Amino acid sequence: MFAAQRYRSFTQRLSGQHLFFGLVGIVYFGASVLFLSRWESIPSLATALGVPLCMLLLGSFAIKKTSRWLDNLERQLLRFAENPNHSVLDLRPLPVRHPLAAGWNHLLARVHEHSAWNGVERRLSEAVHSQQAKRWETAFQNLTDGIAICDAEGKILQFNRSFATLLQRPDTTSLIGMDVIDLLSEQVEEAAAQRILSMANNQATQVLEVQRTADLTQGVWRLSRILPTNENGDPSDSIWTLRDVTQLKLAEAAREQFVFTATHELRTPLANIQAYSETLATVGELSVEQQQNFYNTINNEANRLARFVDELLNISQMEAGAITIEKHEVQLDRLLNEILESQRPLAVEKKQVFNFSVAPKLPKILADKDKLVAALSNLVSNAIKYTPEEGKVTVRVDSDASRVLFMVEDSGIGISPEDLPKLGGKFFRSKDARVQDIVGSGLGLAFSQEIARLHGGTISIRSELNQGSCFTLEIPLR
Amino acid sequence: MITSKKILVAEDNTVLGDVIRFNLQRAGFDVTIARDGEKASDLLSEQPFDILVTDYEMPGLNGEQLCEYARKSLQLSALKIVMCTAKGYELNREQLKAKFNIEWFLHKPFSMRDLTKLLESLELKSFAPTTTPLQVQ
Repeated sequence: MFAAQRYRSFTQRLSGQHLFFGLVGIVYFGASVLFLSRWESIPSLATALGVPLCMLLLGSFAIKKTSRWLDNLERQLLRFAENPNHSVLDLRPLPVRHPLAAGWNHLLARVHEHSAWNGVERRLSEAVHSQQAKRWETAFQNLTDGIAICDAEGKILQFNRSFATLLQRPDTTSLIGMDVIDLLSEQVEEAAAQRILSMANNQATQVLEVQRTADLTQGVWRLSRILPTNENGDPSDSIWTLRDVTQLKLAEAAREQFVFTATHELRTPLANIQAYSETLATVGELSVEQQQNFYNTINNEANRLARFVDELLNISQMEAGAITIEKHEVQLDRLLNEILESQRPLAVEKKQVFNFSVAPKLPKILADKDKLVAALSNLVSNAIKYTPEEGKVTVRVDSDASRVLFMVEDSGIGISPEDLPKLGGKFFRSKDARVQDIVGSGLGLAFSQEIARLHGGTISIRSELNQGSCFTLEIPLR
Repeated sequence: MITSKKILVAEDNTVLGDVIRFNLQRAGFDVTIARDGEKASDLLSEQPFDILVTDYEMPGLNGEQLCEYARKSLQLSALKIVMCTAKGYELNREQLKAKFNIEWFLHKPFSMRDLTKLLESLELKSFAPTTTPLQVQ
């Protein structure tokens, strides 16, 4: 501001100098005239000086007028000199016809254009960057894998929601600053904690599968650590990824269990067939009746084997999502008879009370008879299997205007509330020791549910542990 | 006169149990069938047997628990044990064999002739079987 006060504009200086030198010239001229005329012609002197003086003033006025646009330019530039951050948008074009002014105006137009683009670019880049950052943040927060970024000491700098959830601290507002190893270790049993600690201390180990407790269902983590290096090649932060692989592990365990079960299921009838056929072949003195019995047994066991192979086939079809149904009009009483005939012997063998109650007038339904028989047989044979000897199994069939209900009720071991939601999951078998004693693939119900679904129906389950269960297969009438 | 070997067969599969009984009786053994582990354990505690042929998977008391009961609770160290199973590699046979001094594992399906021959070949000893041989350093 001080500089501005002292500053005299280019025009002012130009006209000032013009006036100064002009006046000096006139004074010198007047003095010379007076000296030469021996101070006698004072009146004519006034005239002689008056004209140049007028010309001088006129010249000064002309300078000012001509350079007025320069003055404008100067003022604009001056503002930039005083404040370098002054906006280029405040620069004004010069309203004169002059090549220099035109040059300035062109320059100004270019500057304005450039600055406008710059502004757009900046705003765009800001928008894009803030959106990108937001997108990254959203992705980071919503990843199903838990992620924590830690400093060199293992203190958490940043973490996502899944990380907090997997550590069972969803309500914790911030884990920032906490030690990642401590946090992980407090969620697992001692042995697992030791493994995590040794992973933390050993840079070679980058991935670790941790079973939280001896019970698989309590959770299995896949823990991995990445050590990105900084520009000097030294490790700085560490990134910890936590993935819940419990379902995967459970499915693996169930699949393994299924293979064991399946081989057992295959070997049992095979063992019987081999034993009986070998006996028939090697023992000469068998009575006709004995022979007949043995052949029957072989036949029954072969049927059992065939049924199991069918079941396996159904399962593999279901696994591949390749089960299709062919609907035809089905007479319900025939369908029910077929199930009854095949299942009753099993109930009789266990001395169970096997009741069958069917509403008097059942409608014809559109269904795939074989698949529906298989689905219902599964429910009935499950009821028989999971009901102790001398228990009770009741099959009831009812219908109304819109649907048919097949209800299979038993007085069996029942299903615990924890197991109930898991039921129907492929390969699922309860940890209940009583269930473990009974041969089963853990796929029958899943198959029945799939068949119900393909018919547009459902299976609902009601059960109480040690009291019994009721499975209801509902099929809509079209 | 040589008394026939007394054999207890613990097998929950009645169909297989019947044919085992048929074949072993024909071979001259004195056969008793128990339909589950608990019945087998009761029979073992009530009367003397020379050989126990047991299934591994049975409701209630399984084959392993039955062996444990026979060897530990009843102290039947002279009893010969043959285990048959439909289980695969999930069963640690060597460990079981050593733990309960099991003579033989039969894998289902197995031949009746093999079973008969095996039982005939088992030498009966009235004294307790030797423990695991000494390790030579």
